[in-house]
Amino acid sequence: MKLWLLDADVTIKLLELGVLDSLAKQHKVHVASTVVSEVKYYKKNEQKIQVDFRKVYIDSGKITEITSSAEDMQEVLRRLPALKRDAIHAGEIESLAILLHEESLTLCTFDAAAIRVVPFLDASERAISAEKLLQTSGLTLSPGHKLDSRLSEEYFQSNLSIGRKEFIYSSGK
Amino acid sequence: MRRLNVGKGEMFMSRMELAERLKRAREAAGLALSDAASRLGFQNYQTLSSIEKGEREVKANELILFAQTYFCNLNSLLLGGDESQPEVHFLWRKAPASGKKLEIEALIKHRIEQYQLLENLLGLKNKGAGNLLQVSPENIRTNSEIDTLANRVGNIFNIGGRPAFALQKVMEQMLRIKILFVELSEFGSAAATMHPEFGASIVVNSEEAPWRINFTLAHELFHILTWNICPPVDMEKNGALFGDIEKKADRFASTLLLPESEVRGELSSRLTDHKLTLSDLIDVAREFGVSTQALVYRMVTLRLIQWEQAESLVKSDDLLMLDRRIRKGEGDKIPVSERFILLAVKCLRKGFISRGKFAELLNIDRVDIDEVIESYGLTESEGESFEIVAA
Repeated sequence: MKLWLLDADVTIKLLELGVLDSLAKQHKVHVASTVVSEVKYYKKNEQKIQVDFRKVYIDSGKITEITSSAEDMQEVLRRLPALKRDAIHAGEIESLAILLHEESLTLCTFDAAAIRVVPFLDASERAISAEKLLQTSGLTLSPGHKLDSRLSEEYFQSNLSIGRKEFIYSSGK
Repeated sequence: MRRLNVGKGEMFMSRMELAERLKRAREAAGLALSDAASRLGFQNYQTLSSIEKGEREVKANELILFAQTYFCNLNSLLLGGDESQPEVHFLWRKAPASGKKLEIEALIKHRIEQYQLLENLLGLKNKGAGNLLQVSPENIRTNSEIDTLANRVGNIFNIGGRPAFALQKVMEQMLRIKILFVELSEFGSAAATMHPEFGASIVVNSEEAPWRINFTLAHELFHILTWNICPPVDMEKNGALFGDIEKKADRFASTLLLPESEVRGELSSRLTDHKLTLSDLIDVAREFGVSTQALVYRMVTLRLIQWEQAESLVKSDDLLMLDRRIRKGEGDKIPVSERFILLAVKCLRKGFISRGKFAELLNIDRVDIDEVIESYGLTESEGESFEIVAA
């Protein structure tokens, strides 16, 4: 059993793909508190569907909510170059704060800016693309379903590589 | 719910430091303790009071609420803002009531900072083409000089025969003026500001009709161009000076948006026996993207009608009712800062801002990001790159 930490966009995507429940059944899934309040809708066949994420997934015990403190979030911000601090949303900062301190968790995100920040937290080995998450978890999509390119391993690795370069460059300054 | 408890917090920030920052941010937003507590969703003000005294821990999701309610960045709450930065001074056409002024100005300043963040991320250091225009007190002494200035602006920026439809783009893209549309309701009208760090910004009430917005943009452009020769501090102290400069700004806007030869040509083409119908008058105003009232007063300055005739026309119920009927539905579109959206999409596309940040900047739900981007005819994907011969 794997221990996953999902960000808001991945959570919404997995709801859209209809695989979040299967994932939560087979693995231990975690989300940050801000993700719980941010995931309000997902889309299916171009329809916006409302979801009471707290009730359906947190209160029912399917997914574990983790909350971080102001100090944890501050620690993440301190590790980032000044310009990046305001460029990442507080929700993503909370997920990164959890990743920083919960070493057993692996973060799944397809947010380019968030992926590029991971090397600054020395956590590149504990972040994963949505494509790899699905593969590793043994989840398959319905036949004919083409995965959004942003969810691909290639997209993830390309952004991780940019983040590594940015980290090395900023460290050298 | 699990709590992260790593015990390293003390290394970076005491609870007291955060408490003080939160209190300062609330005061800067002009919010009383009870008002802020209710907006933050606390059942009583004592909870907020104990947070501000450093007696209660602040959770991540609460911090986000604090940042939203106090119009500030998470970063400035957690790491402290830049205290050395000069204050943003707004020149209001009609200032919000004192009880609301601080809050509205805090919201606008936050929006300007967000705009600036996008420019900084994209490395846009160029301050725009504003320096092409050096305006001196001699350029705005008489109406004729103001007309010359307006025509010069129109020519330099090549805004064409129907300037209202190009003005926003020119101001945003060439002059790099940050245009912000804010729901001001009854709390105030337009404002302008110049800041050494943020450059020029104009605030427009998003609830105004498009033709009024066009006039407001031109009016506020005058204040930006004359910022150094008519400092707002002087105008705020001297009501007569403020009134005089406001009239000059209106004159500039009128001449800029309604170029003489174009207006004369358009009106002449509709005359029958030297007479113009009310519906033709309204059509010409629409053609130039201004209010019918603005066109009527421009006709006075062009000596096409007498002042008394203009006064009677703009007060005419017939004209008012016809105007409403013809323009019905024209004001339904919510105005947006096109450049701000373009910069935000560009930053998202290049991976400079996160998707959550993008949703925050555009005030949309995360799930709508792709749809909103497509609605502006844009895409998040960068696409393949290809080589071109250097220009």
